[in-house]
Amino acid sequence: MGTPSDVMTLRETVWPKKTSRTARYSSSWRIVITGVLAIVFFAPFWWMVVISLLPNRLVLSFPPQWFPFHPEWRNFFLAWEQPYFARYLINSLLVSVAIVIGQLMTSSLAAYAIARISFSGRRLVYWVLLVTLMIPGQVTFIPVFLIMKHLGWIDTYQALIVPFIGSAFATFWLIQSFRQVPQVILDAAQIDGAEHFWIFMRIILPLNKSALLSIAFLNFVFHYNDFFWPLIVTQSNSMRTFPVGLSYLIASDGSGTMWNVLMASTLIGIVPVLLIFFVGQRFLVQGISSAGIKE
Amino acid sequence: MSLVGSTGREKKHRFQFPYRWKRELTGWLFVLPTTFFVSLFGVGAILYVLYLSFLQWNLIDPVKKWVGFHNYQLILQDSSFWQSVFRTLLYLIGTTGITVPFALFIAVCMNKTFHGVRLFRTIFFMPYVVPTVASAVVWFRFFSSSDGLMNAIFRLFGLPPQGWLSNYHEALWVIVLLYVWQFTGYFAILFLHGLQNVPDSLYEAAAVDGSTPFLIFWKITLPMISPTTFFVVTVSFIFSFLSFDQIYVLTEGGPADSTTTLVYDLFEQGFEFFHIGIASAMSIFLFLFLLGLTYLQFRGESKWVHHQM
Repeated sequence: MGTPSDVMTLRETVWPKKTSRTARYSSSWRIVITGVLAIVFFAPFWWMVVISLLPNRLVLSFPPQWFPFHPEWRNFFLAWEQPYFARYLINSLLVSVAIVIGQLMTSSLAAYAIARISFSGRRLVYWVLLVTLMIPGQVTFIPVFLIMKHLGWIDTYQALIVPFIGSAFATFWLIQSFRQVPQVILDAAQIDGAEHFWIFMRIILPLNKSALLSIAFLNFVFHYNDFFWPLIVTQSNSMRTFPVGLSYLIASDGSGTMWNVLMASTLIGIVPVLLIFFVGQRFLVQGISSAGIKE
Repeated sequence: MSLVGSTGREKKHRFQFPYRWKRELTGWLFVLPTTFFVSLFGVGAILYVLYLSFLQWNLIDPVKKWVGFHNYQLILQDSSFWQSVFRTLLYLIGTTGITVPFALFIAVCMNKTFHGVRLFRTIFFMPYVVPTVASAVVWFRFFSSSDGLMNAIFRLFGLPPQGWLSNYHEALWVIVLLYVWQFTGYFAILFLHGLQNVPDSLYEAAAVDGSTPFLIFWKITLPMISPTTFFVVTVSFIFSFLSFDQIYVLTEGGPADSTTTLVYDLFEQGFEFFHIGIASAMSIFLFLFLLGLTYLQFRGESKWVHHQM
């Protein structure tokens, strides 16, 4: 007795784990149903992979090929060599990284002020943010387009980045998170003579790493995938982002002459979001499940 | 808080702001960038679009003609506008009506921890992460009317091949199906979060009373997760209301406008026909509709939702 494992066995004898027959039975049908559905949900991805590795003459064959027995890796090179393809990817990465960095800087500062500094504009700014939260891009794209046109920014990186630098959504999220830092810590720092900016940099930001990461990952994915605004504001191939560029590849190849290369292009383009997804899944899931519920 | 004012580290001879001023200044400086961008591209843009909705203008003409409420009149009298409103509602109900119950079902299945549950969660969530345009590529291959997989399967079972995306009555439902694939996993994770917050004691009490699983689901689970359900339904309404990518890539609003929803109509008016005034008036409609939805959520939540004490 006395070691942690002993305590564990003691606990299990007092409160035995539920492994009755019905429980085991009910969890096995759960696995079966969930498994079947998971296969259905995964099928489109698998199919994407299979088609991207098939020679073109087999793409339309029936019954469909469900496994690429002779993978043609060449398709991926062909996809990569398409004119402007690499440029689309670089644009998307550049734009979404720039937006995320900008958002993190502006919204964390604002969130700190609203959550932790009692100044006169606090309530007003809070309400402005709340109203903005309800305005989607589909409602404001005409005026924002006109503003960009007025600035001469159409078809530039500025037009793709600047409208998204201020984010009501990110700010709200961080306000929630910053409010949970115990006031005692901040009081102690202030008594020691710390300025607000110092507290912000040295205490608030390090303590809220996971909230900041959640925001960064979610918004990276969102802006990497964004289609509507880049479609409107870009005109030349050298400015198009990956989703817009891909839609042009579909349009120019919609009849399906080169399905395998199209699928390969799609797969290459979704690698960044899938990487982010697998690396940051914990933060993404934690993010989306707390964002809405706690308001 | 007032402690701080008297314990500054600064040297005496340097000029010092009174503490209150300094706090005000810091506060405003911190919120300045966000407030600037958000006011310009959010609230400011709404006011700008309101102004544009009173104009007759084609984006290029130097003359902007003030026409008052004429654009609103035009829209309200236009039967194609009402048709796109109707289609939007149909799409809204179709997507939400399928996706939300389906997501709840998957969440209930995944609620018990078993081997591989994390893998399943990852798979269900993956479609949400991938850009819509990329998913649309697969949908093209699936639902092509000439050589798509769906028609191949139909032929195998001796069913007549369908037009899918090129059929007036079917195109919208193919897009609904894409929505279901994309968002079910996302909503299932939201539900899962709600399910895990239901206290075990309730289930244990019900088990002691000998309730059937169906009764437990109906009388305990469903009322307990109603805040989540309400949130998910609202989010789904908003997502499908604003759907654009799917429609643009798969059908461009066709065939014969059968997939032209409000947002797509708005896009066409603005950026294909350059009817800036009309498009702006439609934006205002869209905004009012969303405000209404948000209001309903606030109202409905207090009425329908069971909040845990």
